[in-house]
Amino acid sequence: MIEIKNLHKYFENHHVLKGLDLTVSQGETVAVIGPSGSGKSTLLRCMNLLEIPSTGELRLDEIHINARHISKTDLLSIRKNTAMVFQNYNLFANKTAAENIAEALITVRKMNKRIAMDIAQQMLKKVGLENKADHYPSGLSGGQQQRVAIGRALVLNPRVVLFDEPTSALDPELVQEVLQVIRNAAQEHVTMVIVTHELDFARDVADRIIFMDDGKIVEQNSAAEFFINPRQERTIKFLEKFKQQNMYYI
Amino acid sequence: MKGILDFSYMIQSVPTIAKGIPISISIAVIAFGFGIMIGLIGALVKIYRIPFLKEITNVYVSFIRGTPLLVQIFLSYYGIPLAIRHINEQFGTEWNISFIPAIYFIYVAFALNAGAYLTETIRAAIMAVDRGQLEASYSVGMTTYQSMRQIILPQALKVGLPNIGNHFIAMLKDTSLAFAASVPEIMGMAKIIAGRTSRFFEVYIVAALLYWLICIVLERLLAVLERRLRRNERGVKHD
Ligand SMILES: Nc1ncnc2c1ncn2[C@@H]1O[C@H](COP(=O)(O)OP(=O)(O)OP(=O)(O)O)[C@@H](O)[C@H]1O
Ligand SMILES: [Mg+2]
Repeated sequence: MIEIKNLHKYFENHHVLKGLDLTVSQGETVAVIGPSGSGKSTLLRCMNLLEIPSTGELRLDEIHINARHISKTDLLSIRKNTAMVFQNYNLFANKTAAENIAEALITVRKMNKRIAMDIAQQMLKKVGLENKADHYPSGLSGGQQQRVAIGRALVLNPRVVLFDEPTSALDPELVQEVLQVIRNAAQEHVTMVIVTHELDFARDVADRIIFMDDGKIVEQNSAAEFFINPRQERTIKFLEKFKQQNMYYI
Repeated sequence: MKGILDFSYMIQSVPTIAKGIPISISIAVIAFGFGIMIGLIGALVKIYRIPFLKEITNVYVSFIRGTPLLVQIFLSYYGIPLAIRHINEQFGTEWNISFIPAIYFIYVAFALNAGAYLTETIRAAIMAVDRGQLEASYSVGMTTYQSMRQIILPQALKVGLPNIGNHFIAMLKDTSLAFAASVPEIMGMAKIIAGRTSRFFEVYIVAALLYWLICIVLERLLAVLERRLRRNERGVKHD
C-alpha cells in the first residue's frame, strides 16, 4: 500500500502541489488525469523521490518518510521499491534491450549476470519483444522502446509502477501495443499509477480515476462512476473540452 | 659531395634521438592519466556545482588556459622544491629535494595542464548525455556512482573520445617542452647530440619526423578506437 499525506511541493516560490492526500491499495490501478501544468508529473516524481517533496509524508508499506528529513537510505529504499515509466522512454542508450532490463537486477540487486539476463529475456517475451534482446534502443521503434522501458520497471517487482504519459510521445499506430502491455500488467494486479490523456484507456484499465487541477485532487471516483457522474464543475468542464478535442471519446 | 643535408649523419643519429621516444610517450601517458582523473573530478564539481570547490576549479582552469605551458613547467620545476623546503621547515620533515628526478616536475606540470583542458572536455561530454537516462537510473534505485559508471560515463566517453584523443596528440607534441627541465625526451636527446656536432638542422629534421610518425600512429589508433566504440551504436550488438 502506498499512502501520501498532505504533500506540498514548491519550485522556488512556485507552489505546484498544494496539499495532496492519496492512498493506493495493493493491486490497484489508478489513472490520474487533468489539464497541463496541474502537477501530475510532479506528483509521480515525488512518489519515487525524483523530486523531493517540500513537506508531507510518504508511506510505502513499512517504509515511512517525512519530507522534512529524508535520509539517503530512505531515498534509495523508496526508489528501489518503486519504478517509473517515462514519456520519452529514457532507455539506457549504451545497453541492449535485454541489458536495459537486467541492469538494475545486476547493479542494484547484485544478481548474478547470467541469471539476470535470463530473467530479462523472459520479461522481453512478456512484452512481446523476445526477438529484440540484442537490439540497442536506437534500433527500436518508439513503441518497442516503451515496451522495453515497461519491462525494465516490471522486472523489479516494485510495490508500485508509476507511468507518466507512457503513450503521448508515440505515433498513433504504436499506442495500442503499449497500452496492451499495461493492460496485461493490470490483469496481473501490478499496483500502478498512470498519468494519461487516453481517457478511453483510463476508463478501461483503471479501478479508480483521479482528476487533478491546480496542484490539488479535485475529484476521484471509480472508473465506472467517474465518467458518467462527474460531480465537480471543473471535472465536467475538463471532460467536455476533451470530448470536443477527441471525437473518439464516449 | 656536399648537399644541404648530410643524410648518412641523419640516419646515424636516429637511434640516439629515438631513445627519447619512450620518455616522451611516458610523459604523455602518465600525465594524461592523471589529467583524466583531475578532469573527471573537475567536471563533476562543475556539473554538481559543489560550493567552494567549484570556485577553485574555475580559477584553476582559467589560470592553466591563460598561461603558457612552458611557464607552467618552470613554475613546477622551481616551485615544487621551494614548497617542499617550506614543508620541511614547517613540519620538521626531511624530504630530500635533490633526489627527485626532474621528470616528476614535468609529470606534475603536464598533468595539471591536461586536467584543466579535460575538465571542460569531459564536462561537455557528460552534459551531452541526455538527462532522462540519469533519472531513469535513479528511478530503479541506482546510486549516482552506479549511474555514472554504468550509464553516463560510457556514453560520455564515446561523445568525448575525438576531443580527448586530440588533446592527447597535442600533449604528446607538447612533451618537447620538457627539454626545458633537462629531461632527455626526443627533443632533449636531439639537443644533446646537435650540441655535440653542430648539425642542428639535420638533427631537428629527424626529431620532427619522429614526432610526425608517432602522431600518425596515434591518429590511426584513435580512429580504430572510435570505430570500435561506434560499432554498437546502430541496431544490434555484435560480440
Ligand atoms: N523542475 C521544475 N522547476 C520549476 N518548475 C517546475 C519544474 N517541474 C515542473 N514545474 C512546474 O510545475 C507545474 C506542474 O508541472 P507538471 O509537469 O507536474 O504538470 P503536469 O500536470 O504533468 O503537466 P503536463 O500535462 O503538461 O505534463 C508547471 O507549472 C511546471 O512549470
Ligand atoms: Mg506531465
